[in-house]
Amino acid sequence: MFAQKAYTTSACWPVPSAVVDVGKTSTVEDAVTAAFAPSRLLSALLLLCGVVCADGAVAREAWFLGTLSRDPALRGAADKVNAALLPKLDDAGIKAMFPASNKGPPPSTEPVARLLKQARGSFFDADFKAADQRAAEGISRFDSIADQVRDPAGWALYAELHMMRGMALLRTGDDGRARQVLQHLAVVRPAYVPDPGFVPPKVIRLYDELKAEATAQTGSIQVASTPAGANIWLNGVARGQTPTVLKDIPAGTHHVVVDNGVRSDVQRLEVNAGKRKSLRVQLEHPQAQQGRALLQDLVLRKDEQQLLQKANAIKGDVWVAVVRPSEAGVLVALGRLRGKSLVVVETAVDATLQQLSARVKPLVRAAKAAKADKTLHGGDAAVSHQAFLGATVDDGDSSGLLWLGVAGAGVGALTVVGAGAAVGALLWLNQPPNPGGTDFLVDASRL
Amino acid sequence: MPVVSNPAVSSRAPRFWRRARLASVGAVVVVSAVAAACGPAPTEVALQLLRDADATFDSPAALKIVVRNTAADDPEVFGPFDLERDGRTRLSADLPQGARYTVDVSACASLADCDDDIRLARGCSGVETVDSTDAQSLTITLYDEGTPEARACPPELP
Repeated sequence: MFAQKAYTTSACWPVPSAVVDVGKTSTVEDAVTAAFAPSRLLSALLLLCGVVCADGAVAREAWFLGTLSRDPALRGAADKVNAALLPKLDDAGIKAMFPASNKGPPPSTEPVARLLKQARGSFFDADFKAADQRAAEGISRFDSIADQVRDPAGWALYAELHMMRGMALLRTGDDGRARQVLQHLAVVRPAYVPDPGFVPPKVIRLYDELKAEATAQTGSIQVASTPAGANIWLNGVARGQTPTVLKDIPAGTHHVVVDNGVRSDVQRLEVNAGKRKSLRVQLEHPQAQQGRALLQDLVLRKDEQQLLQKANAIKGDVWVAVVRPSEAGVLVALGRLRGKSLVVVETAVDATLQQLSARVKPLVRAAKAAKADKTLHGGDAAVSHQAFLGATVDDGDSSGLLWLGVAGAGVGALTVVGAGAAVGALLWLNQPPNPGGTDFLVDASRL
Repeated sequence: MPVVSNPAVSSRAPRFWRRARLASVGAVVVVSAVAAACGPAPTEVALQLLRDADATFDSPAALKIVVRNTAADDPEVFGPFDLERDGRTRLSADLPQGARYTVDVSACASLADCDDDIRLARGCSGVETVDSTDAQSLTITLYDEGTPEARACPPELP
């Protein structure tokens, strides 16, 4: 890990001073050699700036690779490096950099089933208080694991426990609590149908009344997640993917689980009749959104001071390098890094870097094909048509890894390497100033 | 991944760093010169977004802004982009001097999408004209989705 330094120069930024392993590929050498050829003096100057100005001194063994050349051979060499190194990233356990799952193994509902059985036994022994206690205990036990239960059979137990408890309470004369329990059952499991072979007709009629009341008083829940596309479970029932609006939800308390396969978020929501509840959940690394916001700012061409402030605000967990070409070529780079934090440059998080890369590459190819100096905004902001991911990994032995990406119709791109654990995002802006256009300075602070 | 030194590159190190030292000074000059040689500034329009006094929509997470040049076939779509950081954003539209245009703003609950069910509010401009001789400003009021004002967007073109 390299020390973080203050930014003291306007034209150069610190690069990691560290031993870097780029593997034994000769294509790296090719790229370096080409970059420093006399005919590419400007490229060399700008590249060397990144190296020499690191920490105000020569950074030993640090490489700041890349190209600001239009030379296709140079870009080709870098492409080879990229191709050679990408598999290394996968081998190096990139998955470890992604946010760990917050989900454990599915809980067992066996204890709940046992309590239901005991409650029924007590009920048939005419010990209604004991039946109520066992059923209440079963409900409580289920509530503690409800958010992780996806098995419909588990939720069927929950429904039966409520019915059991309602029946027991009615037999003890506590009609008020019995109604409450059955009402909750009608709210969370409106599709539940009591077994007429077990539940007396009087209780079924009461339950049907309560269900009719519950289904007449409905609201809705608007569910969104970052990233989008997560599965939604409402009281154990799959209800599509985010973003969406769940309509006709009986008024009352509901379990909502939003799960993207890696992480899940659980909420207990009180839905009121005629109202819409809004639920937004965050299912990715906390830094990802900040990183994406920064990248968006880059795409939107905020000035360098603003960008620097924003990069600093992320407190060292992001490394962002920017190449902002003009007619002659200008290098602008800034950023910091620390830890195994991942800066995600896609709205949707993929499980592996390779998948992430697979999403970025078509955009790059499309941009190349179109040869367009066009910047994508919003959801695509982070993958302005020449955006690259770079990554380094740490196996505890001060190793590093380079991922170099070069492409595009104009000026080349570069990435930075460093020892220690880090992930960098490289964004390459190939958009000239907008002299013939109009910039909208949007102030949404009063919304 | 273990560290593996690259002898082929290391052997070139002295010459490499000599060049590096010399080049650094030049690089600063080049970068500064190039930075100063930027083209003319684009016309700027201060776009203030306001919430209707009767609006009940939640604070939006994202915005989508559609700028339509009345002389162009396709509108430029910006976003949905994140609003959570500071609420201020610069958008660069391809609207030359004298262009007539409209702006349609959607406030959204999520970055993922900004249409139909997930839209919280909407508002739009009339037909405006780019004129760099004046300080340009534009105010758009956003209304709850489903209200007559929101349904009036996007604005009709002349």
